[in-house]
Amino acid sequence: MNDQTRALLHAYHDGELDPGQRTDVERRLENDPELARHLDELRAVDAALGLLPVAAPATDFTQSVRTDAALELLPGTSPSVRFTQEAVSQAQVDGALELLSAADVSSGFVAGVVERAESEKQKTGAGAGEEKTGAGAGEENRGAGAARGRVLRIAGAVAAVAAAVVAGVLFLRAEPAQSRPDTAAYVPYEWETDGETYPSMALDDLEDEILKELGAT
Amino acid sequence: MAERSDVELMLAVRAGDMDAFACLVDRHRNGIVNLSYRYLGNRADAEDLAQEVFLRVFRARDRYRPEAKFTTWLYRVAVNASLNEVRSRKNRPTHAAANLRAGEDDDGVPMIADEDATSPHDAAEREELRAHVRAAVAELPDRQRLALLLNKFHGQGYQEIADALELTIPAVKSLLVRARESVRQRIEPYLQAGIDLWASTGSKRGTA
Repeated sequence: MNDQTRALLHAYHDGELDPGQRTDVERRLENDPELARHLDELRAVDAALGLLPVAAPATDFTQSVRTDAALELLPGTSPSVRFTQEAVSQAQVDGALELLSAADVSSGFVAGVVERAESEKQKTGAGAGEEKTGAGAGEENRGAGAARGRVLRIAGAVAAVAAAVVAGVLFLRAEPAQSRPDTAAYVPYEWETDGETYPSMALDDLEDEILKELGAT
Repeated sequence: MAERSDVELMLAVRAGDMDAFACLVDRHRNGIVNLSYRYLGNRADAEDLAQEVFLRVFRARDRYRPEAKFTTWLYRVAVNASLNEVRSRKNRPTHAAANLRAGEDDDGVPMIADEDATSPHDAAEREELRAHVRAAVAELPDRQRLALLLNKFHGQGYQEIADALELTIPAVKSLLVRARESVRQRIEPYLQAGIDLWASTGSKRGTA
């Protein structure tokens, strides 16, 4: 079979021919057993491709994308900023939430992110528990690992939002020093931007970094 | 209230509506995650790639113009992100890249269940066919693999694939012919099983 005939057969299989061409191919198929065999093989390939597995997105997929996208709207947070997940612990998330509360941040956006992250965190925790009773050992480990990854990812987002917003609010509102949270003792997260990795740091130092980013120092 | 179209949602995203963005992600996540999954052969990496696709859409919101179908634009973004991903992996070999080459790491759900097979022999043969087709697809050159997946699982015709891959229609035809020929050669011992499978499942295109 030459290349032109092969391309025509594939186009027939793909429903890409006009009615006249289609009728012509069908007539040829009736009189040419080799062409008919090639069509059968093409269909076999098509059916075999249908055996490829399908994956369901993680339950928190949309939430996670939305949080990441929202983070990019924060002032001083360039699109290239990525927070390393491993550097964020549950204690740090709790600390971030406390900071939010202490700084009296009333932004609906931040509150929404925190609320959704917390609700996802609970859902993810419950999901991991169910997997332990119902799945095999390998799946259990993988499920727990994936769940932990999601928690950390969301935790990273919350910590980042909290720290950045608190720092921004402190700067913009010029709050008196005594109303600040204990920022010197708090180490929010490790982060990297524009190819440079910053170590975990106290919020005071982070604030300086953000102010530098904003060109405000 | 009538469901908002993709274009309406994207215009709302451009105006700063995060709920509209979440709605778009919800609507298209299955398609993008599965394109990524079948392209990379690894579910965890596929989720990361799919997230990157939607973040790219978000970042490009100000440049979005409702001139073409939203899905054409979305899949072009997905194709570019996929090609970049594999390019960066070639410079930085990873465990996932090895999965891609081997076509292993089967953590998805078979689209056609083995219980549909009429006998244990059929089920075993189908499983072997599945393994071979996964390996065959994993070994295809990037653009051939993307063209094949877009056609088979995302209902895309030659023109849409050409738009997504930024190629001509003859180039797309050529990619598809070569991709299918490679898969055919790889599954040659199982062609009869494939023909039987086609007869039992029909000629309809798969879903994402």
